[in-house]
Amino acid sequence: MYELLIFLTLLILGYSFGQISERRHYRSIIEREKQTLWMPVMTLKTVPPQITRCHTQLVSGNVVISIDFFKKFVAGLRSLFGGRLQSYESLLDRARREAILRMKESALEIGAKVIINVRIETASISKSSSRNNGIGSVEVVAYGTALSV
Amino acid sequence: MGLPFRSDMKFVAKQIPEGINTSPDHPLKELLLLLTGASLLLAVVFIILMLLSDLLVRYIPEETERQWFSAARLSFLQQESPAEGMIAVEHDLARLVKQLNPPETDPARYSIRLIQSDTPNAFITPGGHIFVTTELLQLVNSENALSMVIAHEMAHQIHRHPIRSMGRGVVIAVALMMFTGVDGSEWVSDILANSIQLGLLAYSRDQEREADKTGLKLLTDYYGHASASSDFFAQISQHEKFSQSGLSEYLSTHPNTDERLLFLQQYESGEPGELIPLPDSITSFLDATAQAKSETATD
Repeated sequence: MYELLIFLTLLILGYSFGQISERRHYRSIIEREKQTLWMPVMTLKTVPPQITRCHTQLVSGNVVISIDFFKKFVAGLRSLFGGRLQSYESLLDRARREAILRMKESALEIGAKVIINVRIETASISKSSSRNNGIGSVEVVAYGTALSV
Repeated sequence: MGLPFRSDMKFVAKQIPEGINTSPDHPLKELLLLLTGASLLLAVVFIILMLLSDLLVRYIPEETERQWFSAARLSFLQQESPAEGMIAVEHDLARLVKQLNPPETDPARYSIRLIQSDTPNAFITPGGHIFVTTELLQLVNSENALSMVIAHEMAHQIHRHPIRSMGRGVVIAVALMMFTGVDGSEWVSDILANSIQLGLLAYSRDQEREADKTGLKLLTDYYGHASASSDFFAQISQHEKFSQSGLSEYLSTHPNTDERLLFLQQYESGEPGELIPLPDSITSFLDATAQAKSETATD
């Protein structure tokens, strides 16, 4: 009974704080994406032939977002049935967009206009969270070549 | 903005709409769906497993059960050299078992032991080993009342309750181990374990009722009446009201004392039958312990 109470408290805390921070994060992502929308981010490997003279510079952005207890529990239940881990989807979405935003922001700092050859890497949530007491988190690194004219 | 592109290759900034990489469903909706699904699935799996184990355990011959749980194998049966007077009491208890046992069955399916304990309790383990505590003897006033307690435990063995609940326990333990093994998050299995214990308690109440019924039949078959059959339970519920401690052990294995009291009392109504006093060995044993107690109290 005592354990159940602790569990419910953790679940409610995880849910409320997780939801609050997720909503706040999405608001900030959407706002910042609008501000940097003009800057093209491409996966082209080479400098486009249209660009004749430019400086190149490696820029990167990375982010680590932790899962909350609620998401972990829902994902644990989901593993009984299979299907989309909906509770983790928003985490990966947030992490990817935040990493690209941070990369763009560092490109802005050096006055770049375009980022090419963008690569995105991620670490899996489930591998790190299945280990006992491991903190499940999603880690995304975005990097690319910033071109400033 | 002065982007470094030729004018025939325009970059047009477009915002990608939301909700493509995430699910629009509310997270609580998913939790609710999954919880319902998981509990249904598990309920079905466990009910099937329990029914199967119940079905199969019946086919274990009593002789095999006795071999598995023979006194030679159970170390706790050999420990404890009985205090003075306890051997004589055990002889009389064995006599009661033989009396109550219907002639067509072998009385060797039971063994009975007296154990020193401050808790009034009687229980039976797989293999037909009945245990009666010394404190229980204090709470019975006649051979009939004591016989009812013993008959109740014998009835458990007649219905094969001990080995059946043991089989259920083994099956559930194995199933839980499988779930814990498959699923990494230990919280899920913890919750399941708790909910299953509640289910077991309800089941064992049915078994208690069954054992009361059969025990009552053994009692009336021998004595010809059911008088004093509720004595012990009346004493227990009396105790229950005064002291909360000490009885928890009996109550956890024999729930709902008041309910069975009513059940037994309805059989006692009518002509009260003749009560047989407790055997001499028990009364002298009780006197000796009472004396020993008062001596230590004066010291």
